[in-house]
Amino acid sequence: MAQIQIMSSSLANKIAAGEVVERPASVVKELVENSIDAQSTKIDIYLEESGIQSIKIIDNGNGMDDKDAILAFERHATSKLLNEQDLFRIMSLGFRGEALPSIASVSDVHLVTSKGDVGTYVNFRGGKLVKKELSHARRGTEITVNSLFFNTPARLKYLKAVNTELSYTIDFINKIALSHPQIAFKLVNNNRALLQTNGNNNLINVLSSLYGVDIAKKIKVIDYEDPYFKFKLHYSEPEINRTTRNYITLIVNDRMVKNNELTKAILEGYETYLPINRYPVVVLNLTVDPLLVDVNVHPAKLEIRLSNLEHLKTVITDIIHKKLKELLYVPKVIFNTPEVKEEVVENQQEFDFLKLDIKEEKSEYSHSFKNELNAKPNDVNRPLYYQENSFKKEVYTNNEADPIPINETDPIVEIKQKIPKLYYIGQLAGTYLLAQNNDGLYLIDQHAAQERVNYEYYLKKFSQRTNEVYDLLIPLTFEFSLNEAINIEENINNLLHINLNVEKFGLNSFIVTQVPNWFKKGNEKMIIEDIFSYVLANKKVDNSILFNDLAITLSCKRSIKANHYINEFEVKQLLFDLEQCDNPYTCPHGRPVIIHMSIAEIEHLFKRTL
Amino acid sequence: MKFKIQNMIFSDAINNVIRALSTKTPMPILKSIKLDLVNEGIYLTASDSNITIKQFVPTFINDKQILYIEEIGNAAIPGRLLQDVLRKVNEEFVEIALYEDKFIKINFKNSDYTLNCLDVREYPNINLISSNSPIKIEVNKLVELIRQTVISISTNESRPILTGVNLKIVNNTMYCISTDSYRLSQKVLNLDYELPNINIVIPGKSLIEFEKIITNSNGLVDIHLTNNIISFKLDNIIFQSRLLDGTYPETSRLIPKDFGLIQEFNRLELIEVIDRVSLLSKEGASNIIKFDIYEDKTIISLDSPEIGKVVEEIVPKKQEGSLIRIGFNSKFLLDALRVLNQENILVKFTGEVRPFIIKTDDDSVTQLILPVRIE
Ligand SMILES: Nc1ncnc2c1ncn2[C@@H]1O[C@H](COP(=O)(O)OP(=O)(O)OP(=O)(O)O)[C@@H](O)[C@H]1O
Ligand SMILES: [Mg+2]
Repeated sequence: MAQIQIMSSSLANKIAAGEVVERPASVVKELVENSIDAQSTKIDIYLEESGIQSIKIIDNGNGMDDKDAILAFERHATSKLLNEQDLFRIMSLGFRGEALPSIASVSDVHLVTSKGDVGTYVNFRGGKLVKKELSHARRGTEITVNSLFFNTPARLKYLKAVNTELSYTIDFINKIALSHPQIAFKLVNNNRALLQTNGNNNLINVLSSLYGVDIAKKIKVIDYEDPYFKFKLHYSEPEINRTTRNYITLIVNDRMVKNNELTKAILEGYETYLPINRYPVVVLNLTVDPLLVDVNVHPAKLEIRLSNLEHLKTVITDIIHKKLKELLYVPKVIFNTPEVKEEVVENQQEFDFLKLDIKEEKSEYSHSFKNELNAKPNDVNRPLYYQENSFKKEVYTNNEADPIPINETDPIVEIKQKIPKLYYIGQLAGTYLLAQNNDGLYLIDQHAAQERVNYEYYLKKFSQRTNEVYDLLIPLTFEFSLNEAINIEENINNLLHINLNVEKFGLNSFIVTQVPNWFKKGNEKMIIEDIFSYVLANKKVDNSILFNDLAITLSCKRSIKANHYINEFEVKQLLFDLEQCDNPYTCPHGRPVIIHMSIAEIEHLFKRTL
Repeated sequence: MKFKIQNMIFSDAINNVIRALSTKTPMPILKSIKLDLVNEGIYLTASDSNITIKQFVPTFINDKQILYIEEIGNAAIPGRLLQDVLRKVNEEFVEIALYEDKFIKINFKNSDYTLNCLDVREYPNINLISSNSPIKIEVNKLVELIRQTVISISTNESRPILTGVNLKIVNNTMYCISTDSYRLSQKVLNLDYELPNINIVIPGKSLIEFEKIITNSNGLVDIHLTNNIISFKLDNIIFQSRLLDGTYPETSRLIPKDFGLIQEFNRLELIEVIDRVSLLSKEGASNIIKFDIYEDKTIISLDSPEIGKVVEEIVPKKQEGSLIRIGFNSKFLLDALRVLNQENILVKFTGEVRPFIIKTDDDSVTQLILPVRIE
């Protein structure tokens, strides 16, 4: 008997659903894209329980007639691609004709649609048509997806916490709203309006409704065009920076896409202008001949292939770099009240001196950044690392790209004792400190040492249950995107454990009203930002893991970097602090801090002993 | 341009304007001092684009001729170098001349210095603002105002607006406020003439520099304002600074009005004790001193585990109210006490974890300090 059978269509749909419909956010994505393809100018998205319970999308687009309303749920039914030629010039967001059938196969879908004359209502459940009847004739489409994954429990199980699922959807709507400023979007979850754009085709307005006015004010625009492509680039001034790449939006021919290469090109443009691990707010709107893009890489249609990518990358990196450089010298227009008469003392030049607005901090900024940049772990060519007991044989390079696994038997790690008194000799390659005592020569990695010192400091401070705190006269404010704000909010109570009192302040801002006394005065904002980015990166923070991990993160951030000259006073302080440490021999990441060569070993090397 | 000038007077002027000279500027010409020699005297200008200082030195001072002009004109001379050279000159007069638009010759006695200088035409145009109704304030009052407020500005750029002093005029009362979130200084002056209401933020750094220039002068300072610039004029000096952008936080509700405990101390005596106690505080370690206030005495103590412990006793001149125990940063108290002038000071407490204030007979000034709270 033949073994091969054509799959039943319901099975095929379920399999396709696996690719297209992963989570509520992907359903929202497909449905919203359909609404956009249908020329809607207003799209409202209503979620219950982050979409796990219900997703309803209402658009004012072209709608469907009663035949299409059924056909739309057939696999590979699409109104958007009629022949193979079209596949190479895709301008619509959807084209595969598999979203609706896939969604319908794993949920309970209610569709009300009309082209303006008659209205149709259809209901598909588990991919099967359950009901079809006439309905009201409002032009547009209203589609409701209930009980997502009701018949695929495995998928249901893989969903994350409601807030996490919600943050994916918010993230998507943010980006789609940025790629379609001409469409008014509204997102509501459990009757709470989360975001809304006005659809007046002004990208700055969209940025302002999504990310806040403060950011929107610092956005600049570049237009670029050459024979191969043209783009409009909205980019933030360097003083704006975020802890994630999520604020970089790539749009190609009105389609929001992901492309690591382009993201990298943008970040390279910002290189030396942003602190390490900080990212800009960017919207890249690229228009290319559809023949030169391939969007049919993956069913989610997020990835693209671009011809001429290398050229585009260079253009983007260079143009951003150039503009940021100019920005440092951009004159600010000064505003004078009318009653004020201007007494121009010199008149040799038209140039208005006061318009120069070069902030000193900028130069400091790039300076301090340089240090951080130099500290890129992979750049540091670490010298040979010697193991104490088997000196001659075990010489190998410690490259941080694959850190040496330090096993339990490593003598350096095992010695849990204070380091001996050391006498400083000098600094090597701006990175290592040389010191000696009767036992021989010591090489100390200054960054690792500082990390260890800071780590123990933070850990001690975090775990001190009773602590001195200040109720700030002027609270500090922090602004986040909505999905970030949701994460922070969840962790407010945990942050109280480290005596940080965070209060919600408006939809996506927080104020910090209470800080521990041990926060360095003036650095509170920086430390708190680091803590927040830690919280955001780890989503769920509970106090047992919090202290240790947080201490590690913070200790690394604020440590003296490699390739940084430190003066003798700082060295003394560092050695002194290191001597106080409980475990001075390894940094919190497990790398060695100190390497010791005994006099005997050195003599041996010089063949003074046999 | 060629002239001879009395070195001491010229150097004084250079020392004044050079405060605006920045070491890190993207425009090399801004490392120069600009000289404009006119028939009546010489103008010196220096600027870092945030602060501009301009001073005029007239030909005659008190009927004595200090400046001899041979040929008027202008030049931009490397500021620091000019200052350094003149500082080492012992002659009464120096002669300065511009050659070929790119060399400055400084001559005195048998010495001849030739310095390279940039083309003065590259020096940017500086708009000096002025308004019809300047605020007028006596030098000594302004100096006191600045000293009493700049102590509380934030020295960190993470909240730029707090690095400034908030100047508000509301119904002819002038308020100057500064805070770094841990302490606050406020000076209130009643103006005896009509002025429009304003609300601006002056960079603390600018005030500190200006204070150094005027500290030994007297007379009236004129303050001119536009939306983003403040300009001070005193005699022949104009000091102009860009204002800080943004709104200053509302602080009026922060100063307590009801007090549960008031102590009076001799100011110098208290400074002496706190100063001594603070010897054991260290940056980063505990700088928190504690006041244990009893009926008959106040115990001041500091315990810093890494360094040691100290306990001192002081008897206030007067005391009224309920007894408390309060801890705060000793430096804040010292700073506040040092900028006050009166012999006696009042410390007014509201509660153990509430801000307290320091007052004197001179009701115009309030220094507020936030205590630490033990969680
Ligand atoms: N909101 C809507 N308004 C009007 N027509 C719609 C709407 N949603 C779907 N359709 C119609 O249903 C068809 C099927 O939609 P479906 O999303 O399954 O496929 P597609 O969008 O063509 O391709 P893809 O699978 O790539 O999304 C679409 O081609 C379109 O004609
Ligand atoms: Mg579709």
